[in-house]
Amino acid sequence: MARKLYRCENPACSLGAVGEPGQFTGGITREQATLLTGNPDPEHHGQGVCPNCGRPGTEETEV
Amino acid sequence: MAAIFPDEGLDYVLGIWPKATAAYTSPMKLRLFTSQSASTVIAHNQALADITETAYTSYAPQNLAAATWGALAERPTNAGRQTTYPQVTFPTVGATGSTINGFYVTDNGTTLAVAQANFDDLTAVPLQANDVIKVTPTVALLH
Repeated sequence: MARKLYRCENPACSLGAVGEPGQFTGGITREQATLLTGNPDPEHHGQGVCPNCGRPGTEETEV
Repeated sequence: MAAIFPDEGLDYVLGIWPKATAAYTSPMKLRLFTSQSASTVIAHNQALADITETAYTSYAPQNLAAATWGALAERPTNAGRQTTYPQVTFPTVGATGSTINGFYVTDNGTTLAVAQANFDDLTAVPLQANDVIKVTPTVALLH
């Protein structure tokens, strides 16, 4: 089944190689976002939110 | 009979692949596999279809851009020449993990396996929720 692919454009995010946007599927869970940011009520979580930095990614293609 | 690819010959070949943006469609894709084992890869006459890619939550293959491969350098000690890609970080594992036996590289269109390798320590990596795996790929050609 095809999954949506997202790209993280956050230059400070570790995803991918240094200086290059990384890609991910799915998205960070609320619990992971809290673990990552320390914010008990994270603004961004769920589909399309980068699991490595917690910022929304941009939709790319399907894989 | 003696035969050799001297340094300059190996640099010529590596300068075409993986380093030349114009020589092939860039980027290639760096992927993680769960098939084979922590110390084995496919046989020479097997192919991409024989490799099982991981499907842990949030996983996606990462790009290997031709222009990003590092400077050509000696493969210690005088074994050949090599180029190393900067460390590549894969997505943080979500709810469902996976046990990774190594990594492989496919062409841009995912039509073939260019190369497959276990990790240097021949140890599988059991990824669980919130884990992050990082891979630093090197391509080396021996004399």
